[in-house]
Amino acid sequence: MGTSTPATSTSGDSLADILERVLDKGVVIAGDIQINLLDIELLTIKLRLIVASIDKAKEIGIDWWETDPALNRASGELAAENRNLRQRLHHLESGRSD
Amino acid sequence: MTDGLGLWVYGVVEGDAAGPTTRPGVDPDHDVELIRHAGLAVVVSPVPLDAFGEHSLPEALEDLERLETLARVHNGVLQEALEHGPVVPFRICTIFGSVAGVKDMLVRQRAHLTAVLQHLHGRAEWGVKAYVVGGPGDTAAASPASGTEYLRRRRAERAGAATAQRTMDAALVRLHGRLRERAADAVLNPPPPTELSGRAGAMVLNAAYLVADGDADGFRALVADLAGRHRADGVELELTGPWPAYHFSEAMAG
Repeated sequence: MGTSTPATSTSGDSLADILERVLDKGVVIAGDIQINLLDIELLTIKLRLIVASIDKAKEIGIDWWETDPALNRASGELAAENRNLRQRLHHLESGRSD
Repeated sequence: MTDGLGLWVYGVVEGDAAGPTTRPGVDPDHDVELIRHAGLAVVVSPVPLDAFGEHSLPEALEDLERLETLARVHNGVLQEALEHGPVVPFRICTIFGSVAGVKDMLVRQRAHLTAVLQHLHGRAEWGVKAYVVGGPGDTAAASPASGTEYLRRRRAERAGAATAQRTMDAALVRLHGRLRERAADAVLNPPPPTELSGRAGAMVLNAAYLVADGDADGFRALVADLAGRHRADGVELELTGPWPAYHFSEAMAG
């Protein structure tokens, strides 16, 4: 796959091209395991934007994904770190009041 | 089927299609297999349900790297199937609990799947996207000498943009028309979200065409020809394919 002509600039193995197809197209038949495709589709609208447009988005100053918790694994780590810090603070404060 | 394993369905092929080569599926510990039943064959691979269950899978899909792996393997398996004949691609995350469940599905969907396979026989999907490169506003003008000069320039720009938009729309309609004529079927996808349609390289056409295998070279040549004609309008074309017929399988399934 990924045939190109002089007219084309990229081949068909770009992630955006693949996601567009495997997530939004193809036969939808309910399997035994029910995955809520609607959730996935909503999520992937965001993902696709990232994949397709990350450079352009940066160019025009859109960088919401860097702060979107659903898309930012680092935010999970931050939350854990915050909890940890709060616990330590609580610990220190209770130690001082003793 | 071993306890704790489900079957990930990639797609459906003709009943006498060649079996897949040995290759790992979406779960790297299990290879892709073919289940033949009811005059059809389903391309599947076993997946552990603890990682591919109703709760864990949506989580996995939120991780772009894992989603990329799933998407690439799913598409790769279908691409290989396409080399041997028509394939009806299933959307990712179609998972059954047992071989019996897969066979039941085949029996239930048999009429639809058979009709789609016939429609796809000897054809493949090609993607054509058009991007606007450059265009109005790209050339940096000297700063306006006055407020009046600025407003006058803005009005002229707006009027110019509206005319350019109409010209572009007409060109795209003609372009799509030429490609559709050459194809057995065509699908226009909605334009990309507006918040990201900045002027540099904004996508203005996102279409898929079902093209006879024998005419693949002709279709490629047509796209190249049209690309040459539209380059002067600031439009660049991108052709991808052949793809499994993702865009031409959905509507017919019940």
